[in-house]
Amino acid sequence: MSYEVLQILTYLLLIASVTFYVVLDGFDLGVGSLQIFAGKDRNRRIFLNSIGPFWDGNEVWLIIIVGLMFVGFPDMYATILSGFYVMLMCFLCAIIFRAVAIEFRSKMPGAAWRGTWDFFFWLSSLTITFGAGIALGNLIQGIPVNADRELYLPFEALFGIYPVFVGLLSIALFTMHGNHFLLMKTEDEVQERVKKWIPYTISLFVLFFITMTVWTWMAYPFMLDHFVDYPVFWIVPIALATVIVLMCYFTARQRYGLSFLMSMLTITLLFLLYAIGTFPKLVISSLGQGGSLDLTLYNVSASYTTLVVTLVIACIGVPLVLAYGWILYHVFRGKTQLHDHSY
Amino acid sequence: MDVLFLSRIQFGFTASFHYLFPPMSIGLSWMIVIIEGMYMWTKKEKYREMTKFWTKIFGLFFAMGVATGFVQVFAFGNNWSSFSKFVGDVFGSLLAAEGVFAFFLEAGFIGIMLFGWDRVKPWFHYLATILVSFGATFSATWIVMANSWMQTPAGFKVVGEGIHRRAVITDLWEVYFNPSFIDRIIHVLLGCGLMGTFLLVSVSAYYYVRRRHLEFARFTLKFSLIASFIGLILQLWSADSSARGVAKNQPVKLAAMEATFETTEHAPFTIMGIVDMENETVKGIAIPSLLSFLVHHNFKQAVTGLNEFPKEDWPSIPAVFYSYRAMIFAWGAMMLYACIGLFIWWLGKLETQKWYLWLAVFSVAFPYIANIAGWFTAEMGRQPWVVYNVMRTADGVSKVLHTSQVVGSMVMFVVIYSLLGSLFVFLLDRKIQHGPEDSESKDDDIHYRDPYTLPQ
Repeated sequence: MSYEVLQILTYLLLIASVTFYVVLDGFDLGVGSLQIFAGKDRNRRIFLNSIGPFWDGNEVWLIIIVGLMFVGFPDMYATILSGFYVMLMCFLCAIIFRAVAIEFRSKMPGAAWRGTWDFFFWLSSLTITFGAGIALGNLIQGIPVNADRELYLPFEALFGIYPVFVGLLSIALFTMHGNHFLLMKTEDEVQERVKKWIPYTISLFVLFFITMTVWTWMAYPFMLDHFVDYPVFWIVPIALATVIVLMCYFTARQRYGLSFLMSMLTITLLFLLYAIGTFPKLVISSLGQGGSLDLTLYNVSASYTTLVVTLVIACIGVPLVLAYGWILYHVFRGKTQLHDHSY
Repeated sequence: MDVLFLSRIQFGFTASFHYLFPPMSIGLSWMIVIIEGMYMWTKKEKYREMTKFWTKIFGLFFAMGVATGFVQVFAFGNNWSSFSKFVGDVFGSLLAAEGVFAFFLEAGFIGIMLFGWDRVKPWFHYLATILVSFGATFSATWIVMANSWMQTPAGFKVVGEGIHRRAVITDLWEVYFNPSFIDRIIHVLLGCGLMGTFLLVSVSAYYYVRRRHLEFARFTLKFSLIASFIGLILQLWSADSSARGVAKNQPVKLAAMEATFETTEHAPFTIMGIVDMENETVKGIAIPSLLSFLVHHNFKQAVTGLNEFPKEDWPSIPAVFYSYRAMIFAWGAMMLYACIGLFIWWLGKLETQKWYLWLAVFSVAFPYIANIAGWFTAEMGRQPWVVYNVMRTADGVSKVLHTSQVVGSMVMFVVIYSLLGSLFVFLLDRKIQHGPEDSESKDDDIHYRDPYTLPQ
């Protein structure tokens, strides 16, 4: 196999991992941003237990993304992780607090204890979601990577108006996604409650989605280049629009399994838009020089042998991972119930 | 204070804190596999309740391990980006394999292990327990493999210049089975096992002292004393093999561990001593010729001293010397606990010797000391190299960081981890106080978890 094919396959693996991450952790982050509004303790516990057996496995995809960047595109891993230092520290802080909040909330009965952890669960879920959006916004906008592949970027410079809006879009997206998940996993009184929210979460997402699509294509026209060169890619935005319409339809018909599926597809296609727009660039340098400073999948990838090893690991690992996932989601299918060993 | 120094402190701190949890998860998961296995075999309800109890404790350790583990995955890129660029090809492939093969296995089945009691058949639950345990063990295997490559790099060549300089794989099996890997993984896993057995010793001794859950305590204490004793004997054998590996592969580290300044025949082994760096000597109690015997299995043969290496390649001698001794003493303390316990049992007085039981309650501190001190020896002994004889730690640090950023993150980690640590101890204590469900359970803890009696 030629080196270039290996590089592209590794890149596709990275894209697939990110997609799995946003689709899966997306719903538990979304549940996190809604849980504080669930009302009484029993409802909050149902929210929490709906993601109980899954969130941990979903987060592993984040480790996979980071690990895959490390092995497949070491310079990207090193440049981004050191350049986004302060932001990533906040991100890690949120990840720790979130895991701990989920784990510790149910261990004591007091209202103050539980309320505190619910607040941290909410805040950390939003921070992670917003942080992911900020990172993506900056990657589209371009960051000052220099010729030594070092990124000197002060923390406050990350919060340009465009990245902040991408951050808000991801909050709207994951909240909607979490809302769909809850519709599917709850019943009776709790379901009635989340049913009331869904028109708002969908509308908010659609509003942000349209705004950000127009904004991105106006302000960063290079994101459209591949669509102009290969019109076949227009199938992605068309499919996306269709899926969003179907999602609304299934929600209205109370087919919540299908509407959640459409929500998953929405996220997948949205991320594909980003991937097609930026291909083959991984990091766009705002220092210009005709793109010679950009980190692309061709100029930062690991050596031939390492890519072969990575793909072999993936070939063995991916079927296993999918099997574990299937077993897990199969065992915990159906409406969420509370037991004495629940959270 | 510069970025390099602060980054080293931060990595040492976060990695040590992280390492309080996974080894216990690994050791405890093996114990659970055995106890749940006894339930599968005998179908006795008491083993099922024991399994449930330990599974809850396991869940607590596991959650802490995951939460603090995230920090470590990012840390290489955050603070050590030059190192990451250089070793990504080699080191990254081991970390990625850990993620794919180990973390998913753990994360996929921990849900079934913790929440699946009423959802799946007993045999499937047992399978989930075994897979989680396997995943935890496997995860240690990959990470020790990656670390061993940093200790004894093999199967690679260095290519490129300037910012493109990096290590690339030439022989994958040499990378995987680098010279120190097998010795070190056995040593680490036995250390994990001892964590598990001594937690059982501590908890069951506590119940004895308090005269509670006696049936549980009786079985658990005897079982864990035997398992500890076996583990400690095996660890002695593994320690011998590891140390001789160090002497062969990293002679400067061995010289630092023993503070052997001059190459000497009949090298003595210092049991207790103080390193005098000015005069380059050790004052203390030493057994003549023992070090030569331990390294070469022959009392005469010379042990290579620090004088044969340039001073800029020396690690911090006192740090390595003292942490190595802390590990050995902790092993000694554990051996003492196990032997006395087994002796009293043989006399038939295990349940009545309160002084011993009280001491045993605190015995779990020693595997902790041994594990942490052991890693300090291994990691500080590798300095000033981050990849032994290939890349210096000073060249591995991120170039873009400011002192203020690392001070900030350091403060953040200290605050968060102190908070987490105290919460963890508090909750662990509650779980232990509540104990397993048996005939004498007071039913005080479970009520608020029942959805129908919740405070609204």
